Amino acid sequence: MRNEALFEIWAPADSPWAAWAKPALFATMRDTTAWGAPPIEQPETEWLPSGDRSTAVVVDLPGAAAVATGLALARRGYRPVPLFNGCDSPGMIVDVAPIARMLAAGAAALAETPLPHDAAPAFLLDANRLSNAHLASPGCYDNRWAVVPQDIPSAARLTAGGIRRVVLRAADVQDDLAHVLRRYQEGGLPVDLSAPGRDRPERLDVPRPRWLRSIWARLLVLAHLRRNAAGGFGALIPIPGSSGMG
Amino acid sequence: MTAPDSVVPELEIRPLPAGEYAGYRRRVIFACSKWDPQVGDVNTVARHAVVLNAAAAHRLARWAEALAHETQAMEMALLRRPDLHGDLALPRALRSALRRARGSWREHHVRVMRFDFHPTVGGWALSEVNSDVPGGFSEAAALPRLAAAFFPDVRPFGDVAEAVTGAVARRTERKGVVACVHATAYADDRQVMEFLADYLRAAGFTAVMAAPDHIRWRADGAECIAGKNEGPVCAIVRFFPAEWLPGLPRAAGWPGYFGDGVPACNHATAVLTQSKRLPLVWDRLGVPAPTWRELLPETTDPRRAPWPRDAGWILKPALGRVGEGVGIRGIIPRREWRAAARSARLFPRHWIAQRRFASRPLPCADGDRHLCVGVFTVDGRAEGFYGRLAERPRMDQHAQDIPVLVVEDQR
Repeated sequence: MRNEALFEIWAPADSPWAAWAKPALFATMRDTTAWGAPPIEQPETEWLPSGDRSTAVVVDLPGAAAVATGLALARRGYRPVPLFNGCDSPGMIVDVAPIARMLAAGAAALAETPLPHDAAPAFLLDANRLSNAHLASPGCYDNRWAVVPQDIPSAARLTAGGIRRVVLRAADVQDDLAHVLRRYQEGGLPVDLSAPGRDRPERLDVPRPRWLRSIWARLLVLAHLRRNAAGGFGALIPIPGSSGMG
Repeated sequence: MTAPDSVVPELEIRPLPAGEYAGYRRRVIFACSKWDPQVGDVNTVARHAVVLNAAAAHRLARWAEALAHETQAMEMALLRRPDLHGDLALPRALRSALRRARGSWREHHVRVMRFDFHPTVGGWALSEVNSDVPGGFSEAAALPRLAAAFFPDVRPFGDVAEAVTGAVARRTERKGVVACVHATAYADDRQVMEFLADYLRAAGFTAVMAAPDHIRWRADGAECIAGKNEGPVCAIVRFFPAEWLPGLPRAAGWPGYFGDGVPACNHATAVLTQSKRLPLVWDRLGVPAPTWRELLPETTDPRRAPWPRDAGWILKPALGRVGEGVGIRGIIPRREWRAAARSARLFPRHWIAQRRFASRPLPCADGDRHLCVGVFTVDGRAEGFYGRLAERPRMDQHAQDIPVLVVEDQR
């Protein structure tokens, strides 16, 4: 299946939440037709009510498990929205190939899943996105990434779409995601944490990150990583002279 | 500051066919390598196109070519004036590396710049040059091609990616490996490189994705050490800001970017004219800059302008990009303005104050919008228009990309 067609299945134009889907992995993944389909797990999703259009989900699980959970949530009436923002590249230090394979393998099933236009979103993140720093060495492709508030709808936008609470499905709250969730909390959306292995979600109190409102948040997130021999990340960039390309 | 005659009748904002938009947006993502189509709650792929008449297109192109000529002359002069580099707010490590680059000769390297023009109530005004690593290649080259299919009377203006590829080819003896150097952790930077890489591959080069410290500098050239792509490179296309280079480990040998080992696009000396403080050294350079002086609003050191009490002045960081950090009182949130003002007071040598021009709002179906047309030049020749549309008169990450088209048969 061509990458563009695959993206169209995962980000259909008629879903109001699909606009946030990240194309980076879809655009760089290698020919998916050459891969054998991996077995698609059936993660347990009883921690959420079926078809609840007032609950948005953020799935932050490692690798293909995030996709499998997204597919399971689709069967329960939620629109999975892939936010994987790491590129597939030779020498990559975060292996995104299992995610790509699962996206390809699950596409047909997703296409056949009847989802209402206003299905609540389930945003999919790779919990490994900032891992493997120890693998960063000369010659490696540093494809680690961080999620920032600009990557996901605001609290106001979610509320306007009928969302009244957010459930995080994750083992714990990663630092970069805490910035997103704190904004939701401040915007009047309660956040619950559903940790694998626990029966039911529990209310989460996301503490205020120190530099929450900084316009340099994205740079600072990245500056915590190394612009080392692998290249991708940097030492702290002087504030007067930084902010991406022109 | 601005051209004398009214330009507004020379441009038009046209809606794209509503039924075609979803497919257009998807093609923009994949055919134009546009991987950041949504930023926060803003869809950054506009539902409109800008149509310029031939006279407006010609005028912008002519200005950009004159500006490119003047900018390169200033760059060469600045290479011989290291005493002025501090006034440009360049970090000490860069200034040291620039001294090594004094023997660089520009014919060896491809020179790409983007000059940003804005329609104002009095004509077009220039806001800045993106001299070091200008972005917007796919938006200038491919977006107009896609959009032109919806209108029978228009055509794209040039193809900046093709022009860059041709310029690289003219400077290399063989079709070898071109290293596309970028910050690999930024997917939105990778998208720029992927787009150019497609052109390079089509021209017979081997384009490889590389981080800035994947390059090892040798006396007679450079090598790439990126996994599975090891070997000599015949050229480097850089999308990594020169002022970030000192953040790399010394062992990476980043000062090599200031040498003449292999043809580069752009050579790292481009950072000299990237600084927004460039106009502050014009008079001491002894290089004529008539087009710059005509089109750029008055620009000065923040300590010499009444910006704290006069909203007719804006603040810009000397090495800021994508509009971030630009302080426009009453336009940006108060918190952002206070942050910019505080920094400008504390670090005035890293900022400029610039007279604010009156951006002319253009009526669109969903409200008034402000336009910026970035004109790319490659080796001094205008090769593409990059359009951005914003709700407020500041072009930042929330601006939408809009194709710029030119009415057929008039150029």
